[in-house]
Amino acid sequence: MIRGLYTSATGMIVQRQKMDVVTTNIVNAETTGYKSDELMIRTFDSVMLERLNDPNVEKLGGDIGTYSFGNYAQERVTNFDIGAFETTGRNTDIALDGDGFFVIEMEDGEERYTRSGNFVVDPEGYLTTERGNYVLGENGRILVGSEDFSVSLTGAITAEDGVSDNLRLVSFEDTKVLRKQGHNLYYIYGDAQPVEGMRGSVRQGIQESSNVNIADESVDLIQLYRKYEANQRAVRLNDETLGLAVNKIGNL
Amino acid sequence: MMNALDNAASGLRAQQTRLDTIGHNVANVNSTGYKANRVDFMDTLYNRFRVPVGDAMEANLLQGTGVRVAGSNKDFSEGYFETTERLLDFAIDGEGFFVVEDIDGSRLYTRNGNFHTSIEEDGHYLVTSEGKYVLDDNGEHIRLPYSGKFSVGSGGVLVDNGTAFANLAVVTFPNKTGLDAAGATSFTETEASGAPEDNPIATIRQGYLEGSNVNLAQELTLLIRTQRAFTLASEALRTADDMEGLANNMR
Repeated sequence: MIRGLYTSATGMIVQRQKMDVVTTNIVNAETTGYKSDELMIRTFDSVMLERLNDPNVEKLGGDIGTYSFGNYAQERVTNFDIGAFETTGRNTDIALDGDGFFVIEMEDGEERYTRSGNFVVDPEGYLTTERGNYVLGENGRILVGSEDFSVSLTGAITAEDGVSDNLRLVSFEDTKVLRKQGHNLYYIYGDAQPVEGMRGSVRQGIQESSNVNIADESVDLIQLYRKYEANQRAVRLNDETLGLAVNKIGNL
Repeated sequence: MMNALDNAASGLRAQQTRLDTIGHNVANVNSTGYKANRVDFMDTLYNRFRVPVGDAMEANLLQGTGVRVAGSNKDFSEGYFETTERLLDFAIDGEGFFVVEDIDGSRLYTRNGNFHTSIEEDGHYLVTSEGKYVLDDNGEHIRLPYSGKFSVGSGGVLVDNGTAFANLAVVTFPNKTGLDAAGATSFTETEASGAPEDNPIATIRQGYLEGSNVNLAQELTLLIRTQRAFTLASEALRTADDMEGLANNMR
């Protein structure tokens, strides 16, 4: 009986966590280069229940069967499918039609990776993200001078004054090592290394939309709400039954 | 309290900002020299979930906190040129901005070349439709010949009867998307835009005005997408609220 109470509670906790993940997807349905997440839920390992101190059971340890104490969030999986391409006509919008990532240099010199190619040119003429972090080329920071530069399908950048560099693009053997940092950036968890280069092409004047599927997320929203509700009902039913046991059985 | 409530609210805020921007663009579909604005988004920081089994980082159990505006950038592509055949209408064909002196003496930059004559005691001056002085490449007010008839040559040279009397200043910026909009389709220099540089090779067309570069079809498509995103975020907010309600009514 008591077990039922907290088993149902684990169901509620998990659906709340799922709600956080689904909501993050929903609000980022219009975020450039955003990749949707999914929460994987699994049940706790089953345990064997046994009868103890039961006079009706002759041998010690009469088996009842297996039991699981609810479920928990096991893993969050990011879906790295490419989002739809949208033509913007802006020179500083660059999209990757392939499995690669741009390399961004942070304030502390660390490298971050992104699929969001909404870049700008800073006052010194370097290509940066909208938050002012440098986009890296094969020779370091990319000096484009002004917005009048061109990017070839292979990522070769040619600025107006003839300066040229190649966009540094990397890919990953397993994208599972990537963790989201926010600001459309990813970092590597653990000691995996990125692979230089990318299979695919670079497109200028195009941005990659979020790959969130609005219909799927709406359905998830309804589903998780109903599961949450069902678990809440189960908690209440457990509570009512306990209430009967506590208050009614003793009443003669 | 549930993270999802704030999370969904951030979505509403972000889409609201974009809705305001679209509204502003659409309202300025006929403003001379107006440049359309665009809002880009980014996800916000991630927290770790509390997990009963295993390591949250290892299992990528991170919890997003929402979305915010990454930047609001102007689209500086050229608008269409409109023939007005008016002597004091100018359009810059290519890169650059006219330089205008604000009433406090600071500089404004604009692509709106709808100029007028200000008749003063010591002569006629070239001003914008708001009465602010248009500057030449030395930063001086431009005194017009009394005839009022002149033509513009390459690089902005103003010529009266074969003699050049002034040179319209046209400047460019390293990062023009960093300019701040100052109203009346003019801009001010910022740290992000960098300092203005002379553009002596600018081509100026007399008798033309540059129309707004707002693309109505694109704006309306974006409007529909924004509305959908807003609706969905508000749906998520309501669901989060209902879930709080269920939790509060367990007994």
